[in-house]
Amino acid sequence: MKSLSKLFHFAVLLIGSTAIVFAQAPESIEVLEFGENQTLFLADSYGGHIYAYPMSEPAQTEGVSYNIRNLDSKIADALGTRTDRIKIMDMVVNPVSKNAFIAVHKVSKNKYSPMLVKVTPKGQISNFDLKKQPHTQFKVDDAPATDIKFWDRVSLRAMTFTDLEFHKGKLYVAGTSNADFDASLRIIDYPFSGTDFSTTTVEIFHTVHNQQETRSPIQTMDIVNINGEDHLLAVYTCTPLVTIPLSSLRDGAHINGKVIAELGYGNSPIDIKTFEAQDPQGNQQKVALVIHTSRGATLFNMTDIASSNLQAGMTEGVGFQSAGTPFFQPAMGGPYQLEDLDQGHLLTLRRNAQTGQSELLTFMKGFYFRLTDHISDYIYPDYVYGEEGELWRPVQNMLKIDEGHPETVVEKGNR
Amino acid sequence: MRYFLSFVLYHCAVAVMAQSVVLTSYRAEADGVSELVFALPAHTESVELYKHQKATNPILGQWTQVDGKWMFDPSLELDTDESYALSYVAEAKSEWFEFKIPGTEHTAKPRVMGFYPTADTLPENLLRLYIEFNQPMQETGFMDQITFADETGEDLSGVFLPSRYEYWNKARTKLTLIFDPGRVKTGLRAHKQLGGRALKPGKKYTLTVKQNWHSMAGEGLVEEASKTFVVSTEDMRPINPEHWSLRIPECNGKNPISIDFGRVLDHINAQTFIRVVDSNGQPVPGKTSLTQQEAAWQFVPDAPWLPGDYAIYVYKKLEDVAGNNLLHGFDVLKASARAAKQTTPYRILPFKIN
Repeated sequence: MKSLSKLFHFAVLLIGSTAIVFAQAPESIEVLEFGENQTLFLADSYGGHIYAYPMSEPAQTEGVSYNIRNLDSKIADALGTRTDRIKIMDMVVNPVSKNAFIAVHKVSKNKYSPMLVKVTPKGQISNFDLKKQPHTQFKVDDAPATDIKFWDRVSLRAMTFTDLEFHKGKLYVAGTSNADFDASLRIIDYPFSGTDFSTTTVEIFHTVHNQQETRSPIQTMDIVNINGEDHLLAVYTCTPLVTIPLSSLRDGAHINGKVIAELGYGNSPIDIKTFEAQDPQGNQQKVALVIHTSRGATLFNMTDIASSNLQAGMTEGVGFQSAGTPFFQPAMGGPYQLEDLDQGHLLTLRRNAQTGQSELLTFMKGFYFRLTDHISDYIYPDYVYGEEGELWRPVQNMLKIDEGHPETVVEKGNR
Repeated sequence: MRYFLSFVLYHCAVAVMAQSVVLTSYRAEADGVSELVFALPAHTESVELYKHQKATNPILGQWTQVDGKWMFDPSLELDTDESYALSYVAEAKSEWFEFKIPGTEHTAKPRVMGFYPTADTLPENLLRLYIEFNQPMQETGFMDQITFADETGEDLSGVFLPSRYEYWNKARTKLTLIFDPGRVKTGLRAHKQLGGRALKPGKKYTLTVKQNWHSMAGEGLVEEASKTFVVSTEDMRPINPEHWSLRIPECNGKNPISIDFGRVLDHINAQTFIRVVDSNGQPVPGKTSLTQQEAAWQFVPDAPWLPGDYAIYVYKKLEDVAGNNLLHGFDVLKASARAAKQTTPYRILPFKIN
């Protein structure tokens, strides 16, 4: 009987997993990441587990844009609470459906309750039930054994997992462990089987602090091919950019990351994404974009990163300067989440610098700015595009439509 | 071990504004409120709950209709001391009903809500008693807060396992009292030296919770509470699901599936270690409850049953009130207990919905 054999399979899975029976759900959500086949990975630092939720959402084949203002109020409304009682933890995009999944911690009297909400490009919010949706989980048994509170508010425990990437059947998980060197990179096979995983500890030369550092973990990373070899492209606090060949990651190994750029002092990186984009001149290029807590975004051409990586890593302090691989600073202020949405778009969650509201917005790749953020001569009702301005009219029309203001499109010679 | 059950308090709420709508009850837990039940006009076609009238998204959760009333179970518990707006459509007219959920701290005084097991007759090898409160309580040494006496009034509170730790649930609303297992189990030194088990068949015992036990909010109990029970002879039988009687529901509905255990099980065990799964091995979402003083179990699915194969999974460590489980009696020899451990940890009871 097919059904019974399935039941038996389920029983075996249960025996192989953790002690308490049946559905287990995350205690906290620090990191979200999509792997292949719409599998959402979720890292729970407090519970010391990685969860995997396979989904099957219908495909969105056309380009989409998000123009949702006041997102935190909308999520708070949907949870029946106030914005000061929610904390947005991470955001990812389902690469097939293009829906955004946002992890939220709701603060109540006695605890934080983690929740995953789905937000569609039209702004509909729904609950992704972390307990009831089918999932598998993997326990990481080397989470920090003792907790430390930094600045009375940031727990070391919350940094068990700081980022994760899925690549060729494996999960690469950055964070801290209870090993001698605290900053660790764990590799876990997916689908999950057994309890084994590999841990490499990583240190770097910190270009601002002018010292070797072993403790602070990678804050954000991506996996990218550099000069024919797969690498982690990782960013640390205060703000070295580091490459680590995947081939160097072996269980029990202790390695040195190669610092190829210093992006500036007094800053923590939030997200790094690598993707293909056309520049405004129409040239196709592969780029890496980093967003930060205390600086504007930084954009690298991957060819520049490749040539830096051919040279020796940085081993001397650079003071308060940025150094190494050259970068461009696009016009993206206040983003605190970044995702590669589709061929033409990035998706960001940002804090609007003028209103303080949180906004779920797309940026067009290549331009990296939003026309509707600004009041300029172009948008006055009696503005007439001159010869120079005419070059920008079709671009601005495209951005106006993309940013949700098709009524302001200006046809040629027709105001 | 962590138990996910937290104690529940049903409030009777009062209608605040519109006369045609009443919030009749809700369930208050340590972190907020769930299972809000509304009485709405008879011809109500649809209903949504919002944080306020200008909200664009309704509050996430599930509506069900029970006995002509509408129940909303939010995805996350709702905050108390906050106002909400209910939108409903009745006879093609859209209306709002605004209401506030009062904070439990302003309404409820700490009190004992009950004791488990709830049965009045319990075996002499009883292993655990539970005290349930309506709010988080302070840990100030439970031995000073209770008395346990036989009919003559002799204090026997020393029968409980002395420990540096008190066995509270996470919400700090339920305390487990464990009878010293060294005395419950035969053949051990404590059992012999202290004159066998503490409970004697045929005798009557009373557990009393004193009034000066304080809540986390710093208030003493409204009143003293007690439970009296009569002791029957020992029960050493392993649990055998073949002796259970199962009632399988018809299809096309949310009728409960129920099990009559024929004996009293430990209430936390019975709610935690019995689960209904579908033919893909996935748990069927629904609600479990215990009846007949924890001698019967029932499960109501969230969605109507679909025809097909299902199964009940029973974790073999499921215990009755005396610590007997599916593998062996509490008193069994070590070797046979070890042998029993070699098998799979679940007993699977397949059933079919037609």
